[in-house]
Amino acid sequence: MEEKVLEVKNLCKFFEVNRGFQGAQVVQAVNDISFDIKKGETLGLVGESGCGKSSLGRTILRIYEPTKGQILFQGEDIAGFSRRQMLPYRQKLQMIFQDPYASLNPRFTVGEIIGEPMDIHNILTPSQREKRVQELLETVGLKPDHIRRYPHEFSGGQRQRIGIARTLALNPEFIVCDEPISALDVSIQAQVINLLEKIQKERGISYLFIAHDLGMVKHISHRIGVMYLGHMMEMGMANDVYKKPLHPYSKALLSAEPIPDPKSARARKRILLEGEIPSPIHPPKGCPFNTRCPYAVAECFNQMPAAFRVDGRQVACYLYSPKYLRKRESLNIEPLLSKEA
Amino acid sequence: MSENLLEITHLTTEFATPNGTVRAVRDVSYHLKEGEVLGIVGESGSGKSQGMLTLMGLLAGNGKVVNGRILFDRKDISPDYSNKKAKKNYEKMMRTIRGNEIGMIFQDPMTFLNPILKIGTQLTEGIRTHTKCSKKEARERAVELMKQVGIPSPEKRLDQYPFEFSGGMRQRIIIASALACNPKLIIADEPTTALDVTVQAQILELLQKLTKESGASVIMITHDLGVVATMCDRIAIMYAGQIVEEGTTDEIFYEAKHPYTKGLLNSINNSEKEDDEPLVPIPGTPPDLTNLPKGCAFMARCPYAMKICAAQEAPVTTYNETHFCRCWLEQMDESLITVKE
Ligand SMILES: Nc1ncnc2c1ncn2[C@@H]1O[C@H](COP(=O)(O)OP(=O)(O)OP(=O)(O)O)[C@@H](O)[C@H]1O
Ligand SMILES: Nc1ncnc2c1ncn2[C@@H]1O[C@H](COP(=O)(O)OP(=O)(O)OP(=O)(O)O)[C@@H](O)[C@H]1O
Ligand code: SF4
Ligand SMILES: [Mg+2]
Ligand SMILES: [Mg+2]
Repeated sequence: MEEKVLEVKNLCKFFEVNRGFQGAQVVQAVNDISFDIKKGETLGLVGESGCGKSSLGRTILRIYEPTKGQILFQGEDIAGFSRRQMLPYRQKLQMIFQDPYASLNPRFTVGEIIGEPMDIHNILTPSQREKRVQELLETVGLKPDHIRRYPHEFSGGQRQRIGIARTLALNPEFIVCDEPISALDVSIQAQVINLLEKIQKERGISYLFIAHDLGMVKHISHRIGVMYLGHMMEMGMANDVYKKPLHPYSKALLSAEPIPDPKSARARKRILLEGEIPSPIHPPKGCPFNTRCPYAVAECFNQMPAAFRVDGRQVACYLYSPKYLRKRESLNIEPLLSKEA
Repeated sequence: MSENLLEITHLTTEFATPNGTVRAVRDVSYHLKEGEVLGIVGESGSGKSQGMLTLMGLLAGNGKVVNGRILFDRKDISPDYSNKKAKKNYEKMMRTIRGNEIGMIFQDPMTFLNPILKIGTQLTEGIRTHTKCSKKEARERAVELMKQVGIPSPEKRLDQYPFEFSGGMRQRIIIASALACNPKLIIADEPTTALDVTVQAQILELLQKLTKESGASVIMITHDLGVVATMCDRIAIMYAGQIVEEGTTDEIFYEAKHPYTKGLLNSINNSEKEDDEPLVPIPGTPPDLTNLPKGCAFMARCPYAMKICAAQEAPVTTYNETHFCRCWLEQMDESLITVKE
């Protein structure tokens, strides 16, 4: 897992929205985000609704035009590529959507749905194509003779598998999974997660995995990034972030997760966030979390903090700057700065 | 906490459709004590919502209550459509009970709130339908309710329209309106499914606090095992229209008996699990409710299925006052087998 597949540097995606008499306004959906993903690695992405997770994923795939920043895919900066230049990359960069019902065309057979991207991108004879579709169906745990059936004949979990088979048809190297299990029943979610893990092992695909279910994100991810109002607040190894979040927002987010275990649920203390997430059109000055952060200090209201390295993680919070070491101790915010900081 | 507030016995609801009779709720019995929180968990389509709608007298036109007796607060509120007069009386009775003695919270706040009416108008109208009071008194009560559910500057916000509130705030307003007449029972059907975890935590905490204060009982429908682990005293697990297991929250999580309950618990990422332990999905899909198998409805997916499971529906095994399950594996009494091999 050494080779970097993707490197994102200072990526921004701003949307212009028209608000009637107020004129054009700007939504800063993705704001100065940098990270990388290695071959065969899964980066989980979590954060409140509207914080910019989907926008980030879509901008990386060039579904949205980046406003600023670099997107290095296998070393090549594709951020400014034209449609033509993007063509060879389109099949390597793919996406799996949330809604298995809406993303499949009901009038096409499963064979046509999975085979379609192959037609667009390369030339296969009809029999080669059929064989390839059948292989893909087997990979995702469906039967080769399902090829002539229609989407409505399948359950939600099976339809999500069809969507995954379609995505795999082009041998992608990087897939953005945008809430791939949110619409599925609990007992079916595990099928899809296991399938994604299996495919990753077999093909060394990298994932950006977006979901609200923090337990599932921890399960599938190697690293986790926590977003808030367009910014990356914390990023580190999945287990570390899940078990011991450092950023005040990550702490609140993880403490809000409903734990499916009554004893741990009773033992746990929740950090309830007061108020609402601010509007991304008028984000607060300084750290975007300062309106709700119980620990905010003077600097927090001036400027967005840089990402400090703490315990092998990156945390964008002034409490982790050397200056606030003391204060953090007195607030009992664990853990202490490591040596490398 | 001793009196039964609600007693439901043999509730059976069916829908007539062109494809046959949908057996949505099959012989469901349970009870609820004062101040108790009962969770109803089950796969999509297992009859959770239709069971509640039957209880409230809100079935769709093609629905039919085939059997069932409902006692609420020592009153018989069993659905009675036997003749025109009975139907009229029953519907009249339910109109006074709904929104008054029984409050409802639905998954999607927008199906409940009228988008073109001010929030204040909707709340005060609700209050005035059930209690004799002046407009002014109703408005005062509405302000008080909005405060109770944590909406800042309620006087001002009463004059706003639903679209001016965030999803979490709308759900608070629904809770406010469900509480308006101090109901004895609150039915919450997936109250937080559309919300993200931080808002969900706020809403659940609020619901817990308010019901503790008022002593109301709650029926909480969800497919999120994390939510029931946090909120509920007892849990009923539904599969294909039946309650297949019921017990205290600890009994369900730590002493599950039914293969479906066990499968459900196995498929989630429980905090007890090691990181790299794979999730164990339940294979297959639920049966067609118009064409149920003769024996146990879970048989096609059950790893332990035996011959008898295909031939005859499993009887109920009772372990103690709170815990029971419908599965042949648990049944020692062979005299209950009535089919011949
Ligand atoms: N095409 C668009 N035009 C204008 N604004 C947009 C567009 N897409 C997203 N936004 C805005 O950008 C912000 C981030 O949205 P995004 O969909 O990326 O959030 P998210 O984290 O994926 O949320 P969720 O968890 O609800 O899916 C939001 O304020 C949203 O309203
Ligand atoms: N009006 C109707 N006509 C025919 N069938 C119906 C009707 N309403 C509901 N059903 C069926 O009854 C069954 C039970 O539905 P119900 O809404 O109670 O499921 P649920 O357990 O609440 O599921 P979910 O978790 O998806 O809300 C489903 O199979 C559904 O398709
Ligand atoms: S009755 Fe049989 S098929 Fe049904 S759950 Fe029990 S063992 Fe499985
Ligand atoms: Mg999104
Ligand atoms: Mg429902």
